[in-house]
Amino acid sequence: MSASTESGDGTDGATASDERIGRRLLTERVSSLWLTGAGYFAIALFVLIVLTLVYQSLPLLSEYSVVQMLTSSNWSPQQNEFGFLPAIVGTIYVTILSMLMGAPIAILAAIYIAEFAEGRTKTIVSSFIDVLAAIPSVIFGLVALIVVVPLVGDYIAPAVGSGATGLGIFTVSLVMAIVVTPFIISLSVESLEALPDELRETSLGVGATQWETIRIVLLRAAGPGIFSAILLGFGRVFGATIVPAMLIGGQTQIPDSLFATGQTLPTLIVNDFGELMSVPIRQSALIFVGLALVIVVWLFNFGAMLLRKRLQQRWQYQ
Amino acid sequence: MTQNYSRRSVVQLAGAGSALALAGCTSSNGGSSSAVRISGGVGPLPMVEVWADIYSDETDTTFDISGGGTGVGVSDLFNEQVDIAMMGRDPYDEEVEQGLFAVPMLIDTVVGTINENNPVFDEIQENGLTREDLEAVFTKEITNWGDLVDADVDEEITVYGRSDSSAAYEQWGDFLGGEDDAWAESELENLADANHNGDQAVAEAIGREPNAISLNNINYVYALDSGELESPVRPIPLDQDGDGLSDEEDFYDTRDEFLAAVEEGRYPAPPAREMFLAANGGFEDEAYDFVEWVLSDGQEYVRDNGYVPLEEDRLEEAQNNLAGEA
Repeated sequence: MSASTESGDGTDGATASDERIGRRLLTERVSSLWLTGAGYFAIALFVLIVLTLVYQSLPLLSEYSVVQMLTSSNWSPQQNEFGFLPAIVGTIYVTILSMLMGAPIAILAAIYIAEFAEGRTKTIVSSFIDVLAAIPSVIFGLVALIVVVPLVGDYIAPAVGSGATGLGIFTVSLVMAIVVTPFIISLSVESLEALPDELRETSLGVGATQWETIRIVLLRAAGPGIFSAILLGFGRVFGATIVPAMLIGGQTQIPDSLFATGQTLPTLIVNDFGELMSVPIRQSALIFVGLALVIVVWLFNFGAMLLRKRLQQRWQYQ
Repeated sequence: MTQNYSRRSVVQLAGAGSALALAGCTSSNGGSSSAVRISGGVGPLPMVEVWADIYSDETDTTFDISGGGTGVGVSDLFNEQVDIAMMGRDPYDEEVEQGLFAVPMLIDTVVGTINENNPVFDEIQENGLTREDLEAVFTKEITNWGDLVDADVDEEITVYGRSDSSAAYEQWGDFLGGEDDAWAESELENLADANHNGDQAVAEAIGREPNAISLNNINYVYALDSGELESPVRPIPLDQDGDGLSDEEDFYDTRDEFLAAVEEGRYPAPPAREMFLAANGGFEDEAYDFVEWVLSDGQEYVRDNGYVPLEEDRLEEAQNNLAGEA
């Protein structure tokens, strides 16, 4: 495809170039306007979502006290009783447990890929991790129903003396750990690989072993990056919906053991929205759960950002 | 520089072209003759889809159907997103107060289910279980299969429920409670050992776990095409008078037999339950015609799809209600 070019033959070159500059300036102004608009659009969208959630939660908030709802464990929408504590506790359990299971493995795997693996092995391992990260989480849920649920119910739970059906907090945490690990690995590998080779060379040069180099120098230098990778995983577990909904067993009670069934904030919404949207106060209750979720995640991100800044200042290597 | 400019115009042209093409699509799809929009319960969804297919062949009416759950359907109605809501349960008072108008369309059936390798399978097949038995099992008063039937078996009962809010589970709670009493869905959920998300997941779990008991829509018990019992999931025969399973009460071999029993009232309601089509205020135009057709000619397709048609007088009542509303 050849573009038709305007010929500047010099007869009225001055006006032609003026026109061209004018046009360029106009393009410049329009595109910067457009970019600014796109930037603010994101903010507007966030504000709009939060406002909608707040507005829709008002019917509930005007009738019930927030403190009472957040601390009551009585969830019984048919009787118009809304206690969110079981879902909050469930969410916290699942998030912490999955990170305890997933993060150490993820960091070790990242170190292996970035520092030890070479050549084809490295290509193969890291490409499989990318593939894992690309699998939709509903697939993990399906496979877990067939494999992990009987495994937990028949072997793991009885082994620690707990009679369970296989559905519950532990199963969800295990599967969510598997779901988020590839993300944490990829991001951690990236931040390790971004470190300059001088760091390694210097450390090895003064007589440190490879493991000492990794532990004392590289992990510190890549610390903020790895830390934010873990936080990203944290956020994903916190807001995970479909895997917990399929595997948690849907009981709105405070779980009394790791293998107990439970509920998280997202599963509370997804399990109940099909039935609770038709009566205004119940709809309002579900929207309020959504609002709580958004606020918590936002606070969390904000805190993580501050923390990461401080870490970056403390662990500088330059 | 100028090259840039003309490349941009090419892009612009392409953009405008595709926008036009898109506009063309929407107008040919449903601009002039608007589709009847339906959403709501997933229980009646397969039947409504069959009806809509047949009806649109006959009349050129187009349909836009989605699931989401009964509550979603009703709230879509009030937000004027849809013309008709499918409901798997009776309308609540709060919904009627807001102007919900509902007519029954068919009867759907829920049945208790166990695995074919259940330790007391033969005893249950032989004598059935009474409502009181089932209530005791689902509320955890009885937790051992050996205690439930007179057999020398020591196996814990695993109770599965539904974690998604389901109208079937709600009806099951009504049934378990007996006359004038009902277990709320949230109560049953919390008493169960674990809850599964959706009918299919429950059926699969029952199929895997010999000691489990739950409830299922009959379309998840009998094979869809043949109407036979093919999976490891088996219905629990219901002993209604407490004296064992009489010939009258033994109709669980095929779906046809079972549906006939529901139709003749030999299987109680609940757990058999009416499902409704609802509108905000009243049905209008094409939606009205469709519902009118469902309540007349449409009923003949119900039995083949695993549901039970409404009884004669109930149908008449529904037709009168519909006509009176217009």
